[in-house]
Amino acid sequence: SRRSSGDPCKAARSAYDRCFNRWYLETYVKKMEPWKKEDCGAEWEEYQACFTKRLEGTKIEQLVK
Amino acid sequence: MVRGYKQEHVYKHPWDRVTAATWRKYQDLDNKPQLSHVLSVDTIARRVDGATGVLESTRLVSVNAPCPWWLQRIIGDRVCHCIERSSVDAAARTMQIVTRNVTLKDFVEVEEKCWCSPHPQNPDWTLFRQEMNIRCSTLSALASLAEKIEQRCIEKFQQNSAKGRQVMEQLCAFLEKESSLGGS
Repeated sequence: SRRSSGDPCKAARSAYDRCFNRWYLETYVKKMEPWKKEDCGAEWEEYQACFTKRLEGTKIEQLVK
Repeated sequence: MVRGYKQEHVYKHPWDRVTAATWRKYQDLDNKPQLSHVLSVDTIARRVDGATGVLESTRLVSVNAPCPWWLQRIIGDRVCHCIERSSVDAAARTMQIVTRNVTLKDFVEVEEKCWCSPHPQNPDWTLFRQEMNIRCSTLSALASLAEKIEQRCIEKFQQNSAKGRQVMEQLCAFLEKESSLGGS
């Protein structure tokens, strides 16, 4: 399928999404302290490192900035 | 010329669950055949305001855009990119999402706005409102082409939003089951 044609960031994105989903439902919407701080820092860093690299040189890179 | 389309839907699920489902809607796309037109969704920015607790996110949505060969020549690809900006206020129980196309934005602006809040008559339900506005810029030389694009967009939007609601209902049912099993 068009989608699965090589997305190198799929695993990193899934890991981040899973962390975010859990934080959102268990901490954020319930306003469990400290809810004003998302706690998926490590997953986010890994995901964004991959994603930024993937966008490098593509026409979307400028649009996204 | 601006064309608009509005829609309201009531999810018989609480706001927490509906907004959680909204995030999950575009994740794990391989398992959602109804959303086969969506190629990928990536989060490009996210922050929680330390004072207000408002959660702001920006996502890049890439959609498969089958189109006539001459339009594909203009776009250069069959992919349409959109930017989605959202704002969730846990304290006020509101969520607002605004999505705009980036691809072809000099020719046509398609803007979709959504609002999600507890239903005024029933706090265990959620009211979801959607609005779509399309404007073809004056740079568009051919008025009839502009109208065709607008009409196609509206039709596609209607079809896709019905599919989207289906996915949302399934996700809410799944999350409901999960929360009752977890005994929370």
